[in-house]
Amino acid sequence: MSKEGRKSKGFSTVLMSAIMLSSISAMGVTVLGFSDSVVSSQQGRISELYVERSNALQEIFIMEDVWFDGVTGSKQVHVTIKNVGQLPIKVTSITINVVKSSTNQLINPDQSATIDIAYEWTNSLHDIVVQTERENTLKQSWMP
Amino acid sequence: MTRNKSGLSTLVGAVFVILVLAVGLGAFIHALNQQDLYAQVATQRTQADWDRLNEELDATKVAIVSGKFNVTLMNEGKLPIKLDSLWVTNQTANNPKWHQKFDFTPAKEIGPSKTITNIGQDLSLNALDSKSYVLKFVTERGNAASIKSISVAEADLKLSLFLMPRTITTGENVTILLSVKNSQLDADSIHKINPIMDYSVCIPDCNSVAITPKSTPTQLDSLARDSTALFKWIYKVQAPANTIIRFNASIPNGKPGTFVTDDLTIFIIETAKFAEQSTTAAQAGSLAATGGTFTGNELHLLNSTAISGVSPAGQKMHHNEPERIGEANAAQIWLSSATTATNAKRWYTQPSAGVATIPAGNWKFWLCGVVNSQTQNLKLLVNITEVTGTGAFVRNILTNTQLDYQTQFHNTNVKCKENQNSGPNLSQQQIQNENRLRMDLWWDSSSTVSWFRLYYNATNIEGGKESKIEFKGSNVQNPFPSFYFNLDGKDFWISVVNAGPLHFFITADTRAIFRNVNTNATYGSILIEVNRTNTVAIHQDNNIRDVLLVQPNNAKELHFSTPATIPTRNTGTNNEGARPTPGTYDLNILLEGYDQNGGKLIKILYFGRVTIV
Repeated sequence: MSKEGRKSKGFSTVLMSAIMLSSISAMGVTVLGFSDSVVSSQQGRISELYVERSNALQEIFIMEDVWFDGVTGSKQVHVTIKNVGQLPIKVTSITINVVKSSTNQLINPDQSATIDIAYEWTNSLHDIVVQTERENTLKQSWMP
Repeated sequence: MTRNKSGLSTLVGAVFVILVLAVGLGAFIHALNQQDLYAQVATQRTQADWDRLNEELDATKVAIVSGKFNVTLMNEGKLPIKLDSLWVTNQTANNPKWHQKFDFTPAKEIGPSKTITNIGQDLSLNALDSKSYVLKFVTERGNAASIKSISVAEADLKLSLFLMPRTITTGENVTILLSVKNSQLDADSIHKINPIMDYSVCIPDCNSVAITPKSTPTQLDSLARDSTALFKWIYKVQAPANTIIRFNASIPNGKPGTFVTDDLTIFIIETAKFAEQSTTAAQAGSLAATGGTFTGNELHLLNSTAISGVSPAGQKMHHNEPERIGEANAAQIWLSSATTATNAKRWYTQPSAGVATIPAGNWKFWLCGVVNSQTQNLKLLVNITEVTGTGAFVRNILTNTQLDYQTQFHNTNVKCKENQNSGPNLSQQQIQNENRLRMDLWWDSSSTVSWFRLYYNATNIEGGKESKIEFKGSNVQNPFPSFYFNLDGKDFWISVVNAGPLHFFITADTRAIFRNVNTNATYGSILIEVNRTNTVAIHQDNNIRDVLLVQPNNAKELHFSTPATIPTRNTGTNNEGARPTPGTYDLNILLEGYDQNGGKLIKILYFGRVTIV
């Protein structure tokens, strides 16, 4: 009796222990997997963020020249942008005063590009804003 | 047994916790790495910004040379600069303006604190003098330096003209300086300034005016803002007396009104007084010209002036008493009794400027005068001696040479006659630099006239002639412009001529000053009276006149006291101090007075060196 009783009691204990160990392992694997997934995701986002910011920071460009051209009815503003940074830049828009013109001009390092904007300029000071794909902007005022 | 199983679960749990923490730590380290990379990029960007901000490029000069730009650039920063491109805008062109970019391939490098020149000379672009340009240089770092150079057609230029001197005698040179200032506010530079000088306007006319350029300026490639350029011309001018020549300096293609004029007046030097006037032109503008010359009781000045262009050509010598010009009793010297060489009337030429060569030939003596009886013979004797500038004997040229005028002179009217004998025939004579000729003229006892008056420079003399010596065939061009006076240490007379347009008064403060050229011992003389005839005493007391009016074109004689260390009007008293010892002195006249406009007249007239014997 006592032997049978001891056998039954031992089995339960072992079973319980196995169940608990399994549970703990399952929970541990789940938590570990979740943590790894979350951390990996965050790492990727952090990397992406820093790369974006680094690239944006490395983007340097100037308005080398602005030339007001044309006659009334077909006036143009020629904006020459020079990439003096180390990464290619892509100019996405040029805003003259409040008039925004979209573009998609790629400029490699140490290169210049002239973007022609149709704009009826007047003989006064004009605010010109150049925006790149990395959302850098450069604002200057030019006079014809 | 139970404790052992519980421990295993704990161990497994701990392992998982550690694994989770390891994952988190990895993420943290990754984030730190990203941060570090970003920081590096930020540092590079900051450095790039810093470099760009510290890049200092300056375009210092621009000109157009041989149809190409010639720009000077200076790197005023501490970093090397690479020039990438040049933008050129033609400001003069219109609708549209001309605008073009030129790339420098390879980029032009400028070291820190270095300057490079000739930028633009190798461009394919031709620059035009008549256009205005803006040049913009762009560097590799993205900075720009601009310079604007405009043509004279758009430039505000301030011109000033200076004639030196403004009055000359014919055959002399006049130096003309044109000052051009760039007062253009919105331009860094003006290119191609090439002024011209016009002298086609003369009063009364230019028919007899001959102007020979001796020196002309070269054009200026560029003139920076607020800078001034000087252009110099030298002309030799030959024109009749009293001709006024208008010099008009202008900038071709300049704005309307970009010119300036000034007048040159020509006059003829008749006597040394005018030469003196030209060098002592009135100050303060109140008197156009004043001057003076000496007259002496026994010794007379003899001046010599080249008369090239006057027939007969040659060297003339004439007595100098300008105060008598136009007067009936002009400049006469009485030769009223037989004299000897020791008390002859004596003249000196002015010192030779350089070696004066007198060609071989007969010397003719022209004398103007009146004799007591036109039926009596007049014969004179002459000595000509070369002396140093201070009167020391050098050599005899003529000794006791007779000049025979026979009965040519009139007893009432002044006649100018040449001696009847052929005149002394002399070999070529060279008068050394600074030396003078001395002439002694005296009575020849074989003359039968009882007196002879020798006249000079009087307008009533026959045909406007004058007493002179002609060196036949002479082409001597160097006049002998100076004064020489042999003062005997006593009181003396000086004639002051007002050749200007204004009346002026001479006050009693006028003085004469003698300075020994060797010892600097100095003596003064006081103005004591005026007018050798009808003498009027000058004195500061109220009961005697204080001033003397000198009208334009008139002369007055001034009587000065004996030079002394304590100048006094009471010459000869014990209060006059020491008198000058024999020697050579510089003589200056301090002429004080005032003119008709109330302008103060203070002039120092330098009369050259005198010998006190």
